[in-house]
Amino acid sequence: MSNGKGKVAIITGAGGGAGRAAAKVFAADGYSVVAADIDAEGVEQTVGEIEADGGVATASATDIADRDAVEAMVKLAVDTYGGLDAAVNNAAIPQVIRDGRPSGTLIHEMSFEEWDRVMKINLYGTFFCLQSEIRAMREHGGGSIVNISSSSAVRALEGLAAYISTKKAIFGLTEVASIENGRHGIRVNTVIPGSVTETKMTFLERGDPAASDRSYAEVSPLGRGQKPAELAAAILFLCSDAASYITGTSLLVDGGTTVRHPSSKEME
Amino acid sequence: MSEQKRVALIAGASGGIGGETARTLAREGYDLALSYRSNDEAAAKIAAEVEELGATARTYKATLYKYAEVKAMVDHVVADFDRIDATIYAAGPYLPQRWVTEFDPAEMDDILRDDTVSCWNLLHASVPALRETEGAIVSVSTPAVRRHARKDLLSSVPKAAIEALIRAVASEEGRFGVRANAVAVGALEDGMYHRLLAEEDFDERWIEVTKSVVALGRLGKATDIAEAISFLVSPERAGYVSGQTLTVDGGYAL
Repeated sequence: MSNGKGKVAIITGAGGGAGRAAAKVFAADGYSVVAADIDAEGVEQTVGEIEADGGVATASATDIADRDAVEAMVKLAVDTYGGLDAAVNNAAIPQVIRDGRPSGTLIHEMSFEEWDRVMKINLYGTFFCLQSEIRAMREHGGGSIVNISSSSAVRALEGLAAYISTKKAIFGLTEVASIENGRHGIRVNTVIPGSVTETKMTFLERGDPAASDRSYAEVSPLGRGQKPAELAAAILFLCSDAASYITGTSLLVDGGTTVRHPSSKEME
Repeated sequence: MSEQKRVALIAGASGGIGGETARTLAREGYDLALSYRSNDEAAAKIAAEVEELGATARTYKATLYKYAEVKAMVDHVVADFDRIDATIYAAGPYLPQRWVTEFDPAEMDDILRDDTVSCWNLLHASVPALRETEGAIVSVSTPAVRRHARKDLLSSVPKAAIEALIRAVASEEGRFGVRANAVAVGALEDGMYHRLLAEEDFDERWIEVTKSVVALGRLGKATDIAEAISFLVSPERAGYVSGQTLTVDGGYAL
């Protein structure tokens, strides 16, 4: 693959998990990659892995909730590699970490701080990224943006009102950004992952903490979990010229899990 | 797996989207079983073109709403190629643009038979072969399933049923490794477009209005659809995508 040759991509949340996998897949496709994450050590490792494979990447220690830091991240891409062709807005936090695991809180019991922190990072942060990326892409002849939502945004899960609200908002941001920028050569789409194996995030299932241990292998029609590289392949396609007529839409990469009613599995 | 090439069965191969999909998959190394209903000349032309691109191709004339013909065709394809890795439904009748009240009531029987039943027959007959290869299904659909475009019910009604069929196959056949997806095709300046213009179902005003509501400000091409189909059938690129409809419409549906 070398479709990304001569192109520049920013991947946020690239300090580990699905973001790191995406950064590596983009670099392998020929993109010069700015790998961004609030986890400075994590992105250094991502860049090291890309360089070890012969790819080109730069680390950006970025808190996306900080508007100036986001602007600096985009400037880094433009200054280092001469433009911006693709951006993957993947950085997000789980609603709350409790006993070392992602968790949630029922609406009537949730503190304002829990709600507000998720809004500031997942929603405001993604908005700041879009602003800076769109400005850069308008100046450099267009580009393609992929915003990452979550399959929890297409079916309800107890305790995750804050997280799910931010992930549903991604669809709105994508759709408005796509109609505002289509005539400027910028395409904007959403990718909706299922639960990505080997990443930090797993979710409560129907409010049952034990159920969050239940793997996607058990609930997916395909009978297996998702590999981070499979999510990355879908993102890469949407950023490529092969997808040049695709904008304002979303693609679920969850093995068909959410099109099937959860009860179907129990009755197989 | 042997080093045998992957095989795609494309229904509607003599049409704009089917033909372009055949060319795209040929470039990616597939051999091609090309199914068509009536246009011998167009099917032979596509077959010759994909053979130039290095594919082995065979054509199969079949009326897809007749299950016996479809079953015989699929058996024939498996006998000829030994496998099917992808089944692609890009067939379907011409779709005149009319108001709801302008149809003869009986025409609904015809359109459901020609489109929904044809797709059902093709999927039903293909699934056993696709289980063997953990293969994939892609059907053409339309954004009009979700947002009605005026005078376009011949497109939206049968495709709504086809999308439900795709979700059913994805849900139930996933355990055998079979994936099923759809591509919702926006306004193209290829394929049926030319006949829609010739029959005056589309006119200059339609083109201008449509372009004005497409976020990208232009109509799409058959290659845009072929690339999306190629992505969705690929186990390397879309191995965890199933039960979905990927909209390829330049933002028309927004």
